[in-house]
Amino acid sequence: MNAPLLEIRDLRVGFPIADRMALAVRDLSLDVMPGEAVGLVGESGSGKSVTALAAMRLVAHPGRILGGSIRLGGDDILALDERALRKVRGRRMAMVFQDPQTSLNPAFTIGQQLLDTINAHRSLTPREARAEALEALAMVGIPAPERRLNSYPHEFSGGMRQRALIAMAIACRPQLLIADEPTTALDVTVQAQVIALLRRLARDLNLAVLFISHNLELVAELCDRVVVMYGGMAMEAASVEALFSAPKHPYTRLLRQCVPRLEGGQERLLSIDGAPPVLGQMPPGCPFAQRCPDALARCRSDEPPSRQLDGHSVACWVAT
Amino acid sequence: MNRGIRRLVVRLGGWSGAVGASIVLAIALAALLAPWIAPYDPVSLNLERKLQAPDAAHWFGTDQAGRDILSRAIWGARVSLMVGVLAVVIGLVGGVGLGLVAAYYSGGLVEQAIMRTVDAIASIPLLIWAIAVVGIIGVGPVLIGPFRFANEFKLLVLIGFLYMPGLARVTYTVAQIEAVADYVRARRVQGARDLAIMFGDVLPNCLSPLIVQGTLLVAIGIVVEASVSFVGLGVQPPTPSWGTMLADSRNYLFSGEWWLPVFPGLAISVTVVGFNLLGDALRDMLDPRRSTGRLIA
Repeated sequence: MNAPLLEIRDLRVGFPIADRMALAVRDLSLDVMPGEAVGLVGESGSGKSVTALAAMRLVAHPGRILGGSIRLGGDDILALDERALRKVRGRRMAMVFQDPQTSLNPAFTIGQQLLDTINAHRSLTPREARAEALEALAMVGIPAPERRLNSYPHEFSGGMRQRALIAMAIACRPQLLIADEPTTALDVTVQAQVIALLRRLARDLNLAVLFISHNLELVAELCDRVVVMYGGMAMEAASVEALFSAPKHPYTRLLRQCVPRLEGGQERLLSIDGAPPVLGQMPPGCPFAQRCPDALARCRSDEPPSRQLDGHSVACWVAT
Repeated sequence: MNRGIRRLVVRLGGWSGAVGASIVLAIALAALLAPWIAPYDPVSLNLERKLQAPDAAHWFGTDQAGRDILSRAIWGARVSLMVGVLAVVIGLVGGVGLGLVAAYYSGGLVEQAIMRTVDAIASIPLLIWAIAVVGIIGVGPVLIGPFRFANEFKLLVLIGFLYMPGLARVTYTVAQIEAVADYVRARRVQGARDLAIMFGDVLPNCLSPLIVQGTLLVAIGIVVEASVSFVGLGVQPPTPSWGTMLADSRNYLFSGEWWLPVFPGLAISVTVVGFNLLGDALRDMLDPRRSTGRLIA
């Protein structure tokens, strides 16, 4: 097995709440191999977006990365200075955000924004840069790219904007694309198109994808491996097949049952009782213990370490 | 009515906007073309014809030194507009920069240092500042190398500086919202420089209130210049200015020579009204929430 492209080890990200640092991400470890698509799944507030921002070293003030390491192709991201960091952002790893309505600058045309991105990292003649921009738009399946270069964001539909943003992200041929809920703000049919696009790009450009979502079905569509997050911790990590066929962690099992199925069976949709822990009021032990049907006394006092179990990596005292 | 004109009026946000734009255009033309359109030399004395009431030869009459008031009013537009416009340019350069930096580096010492300084300066009214500073440094011309700057340059630089707090606040308020927008985050993820994001991405989205504010501030600058000149701390004789003309006319307010105060006074009022109408029209035009003509508080 070759070395991981993105290697996150024991990452801790904190936000100051009432004079102390509350951990939004607790000792998270995560690998993304070159060309691999990894899904990062969790409920709102589980720390998945913070993890993504941390990988870019863009955790917003007053949040801070407190510990751990992030390596991209062997380079320590946390040790880079601003200059070196700018060369990594956009060039070696790119990011697509959740809301395509607000991620484009309304004051400029799509073409200008694409060219800005390209020119930030590559010294090309205007003609070459334009050709690159056209190619990027064509690659994400925007029809009539020559005409669309001169369009403003408000002339694009939501799906087209997300495509344009993906075009910007891949314009400099990064090795890693972090997609933070890129389909959440889109219609279901458009969601499927964007997923298909990401899958095609990953294959054609040998692009590694860290796909962040709360939608298990989409993750199953796109990803090779899944990491399930809860309360800032990685609860379970496994290949998509293994995770869906034989989930080990009680949380993953419950989560699977919360997804409605068309082919009937369930009469009432299951929901997990209780609510996710609030940042700053994290209980000791396993963050899921309070809602876990299988919880032992130990779960409420000691934080479960991550262990290997049939090819899964599980942080749970109970799972077998 | 001519359809072209009607369309122009609609574009300018109705009649008041069109009137404002016309006034501003007329005053600007008068200022630019003063040497060619002024019927007389604005500074040459002609004591034989002093204090003439308006007639065919002197439409606005003559003053106590026999100078043509129309010509002086036309030349006065130069000083007024120069002070008004250049002060806004200076204010915009400084204020926009400060506001952008404070908004972009929000939540830190930089923001606090800039905005609290701005608050402190803005806590004293503009006119008081202007009179106090000019009163202290004096009204003489400034010599910088081979260049000789008349007192009004001092005034316009000063007014420009005093505009910075207000414009910095306007920029700051709008830029604060824009600086946390997703497209700014997206630009950072693309590896863009902070300065490029500030001026290339955030600023273009903050322009409309700045354009409106800038237009309105031109009018304020004209009033400040006239006021400071009126008390003798602004434009120095013999350069004609509306403020000094008004000051000179004080002795004739009740002796029947009404044209001495009325015409420079009108020039100031009409110009200020013109810029205000234009500024209001621009606000209605550039503010998407008002484009329907509905007022949202």
